[in-house]
Amino acid sequence: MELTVRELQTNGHLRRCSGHPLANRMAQRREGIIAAISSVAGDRGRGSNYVYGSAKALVTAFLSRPAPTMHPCGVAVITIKPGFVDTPMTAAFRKGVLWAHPSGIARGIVRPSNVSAVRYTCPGSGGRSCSSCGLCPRASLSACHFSPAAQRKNCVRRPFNCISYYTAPIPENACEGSYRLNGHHGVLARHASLPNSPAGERGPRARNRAGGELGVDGRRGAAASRRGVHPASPGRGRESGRMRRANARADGAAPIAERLVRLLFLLAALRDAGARSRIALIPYLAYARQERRTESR
Amino acid sequence: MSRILVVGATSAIAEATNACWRRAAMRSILVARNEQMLAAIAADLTVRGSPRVATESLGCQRSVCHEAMLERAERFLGGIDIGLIAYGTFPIRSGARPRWN
Repeated sequence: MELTVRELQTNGHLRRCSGHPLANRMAQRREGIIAAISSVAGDRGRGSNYVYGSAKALVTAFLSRPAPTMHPCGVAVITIKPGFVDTPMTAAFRKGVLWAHPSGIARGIVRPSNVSAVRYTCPGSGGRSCSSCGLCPRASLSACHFSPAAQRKNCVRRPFNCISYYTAPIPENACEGSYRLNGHHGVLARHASLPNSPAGERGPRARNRAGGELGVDGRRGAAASRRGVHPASPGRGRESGRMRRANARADGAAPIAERLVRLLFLLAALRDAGARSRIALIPYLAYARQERRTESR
Repeated sequence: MSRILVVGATSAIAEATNACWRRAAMRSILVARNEQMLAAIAADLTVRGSPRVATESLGCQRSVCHEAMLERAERFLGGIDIGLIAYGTFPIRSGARPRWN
């Protein structure tokens, strides 16, 4: 019990000690960025380390309030929630595919666009973003791009206050509204509109646009979805080149379960990044079924 | 060019972040409990091109200590642009698991 209290004090109370006075000082100067490292362990209790998770939940909850409050004062409060990171703190753990190196997390902290799945522009920013990193200026902790004057000029109404880094590798060619991960192509739709479509556009036309972006016919994709089959499934007629390539990669080295887990992590990251709706177009996975025959009988 | 305060600078993530910031930071102050590690990290950053790095040892959990530390940091930096709070501990699993009976 003493250890539990000590952990909560160290991880939770101490952060309050540093964070609160620092925020007050920055608010007086009306500029500054506070970045605090929390953890995805705080998102929900886990069987093995729920004391740590509880302390991190405290941190996340504590920082969630100053973020919108301090924003009008010119102070950005950013909560960083790394996933599994290979540090001395986690030396005793068995490492897997979802583990990241601290340098990768650091690159994400300094410039989120390095690892971000989505080039994310804050809601309410009117599409304005940092010319250097393509993100909301407040989301960037890059010291070389830090300019209080520029921040005020491009100030957004709602701060980007939470960055979650799940450790699934993020492709460099991911652009706003779309992503591709280990052969999986996906569309991120924000504000109920599909990427590259006018705001609010829905229905078949938007679906076709999304299909066009992915290299698949939207109408055909929708019909296939209703049948429970992905339009780009192997051996099902005219797949586009991109999706065919995707399937080729899907048949590659990594186990299907691993790729699915990565995809789920990515979807969670997109949700945490502020996406209101997420549409994942997942390649046909029937070949992962247990009854699949790999050899002739 | 920024003035950066890092609390919990001996954490692996903070160390890596400092390495990313080493060229862009005008001044930085590193705060942690372990003085030896702190000195080693500061020396490493200086060798790698950080313009001005100072260290501050802080093991106290009282908020008064933090206020004093922030005061000294502001004096050194001349105002804090970025504050990275990166400290934390991970409890040993068996020890941190409460007994329900």
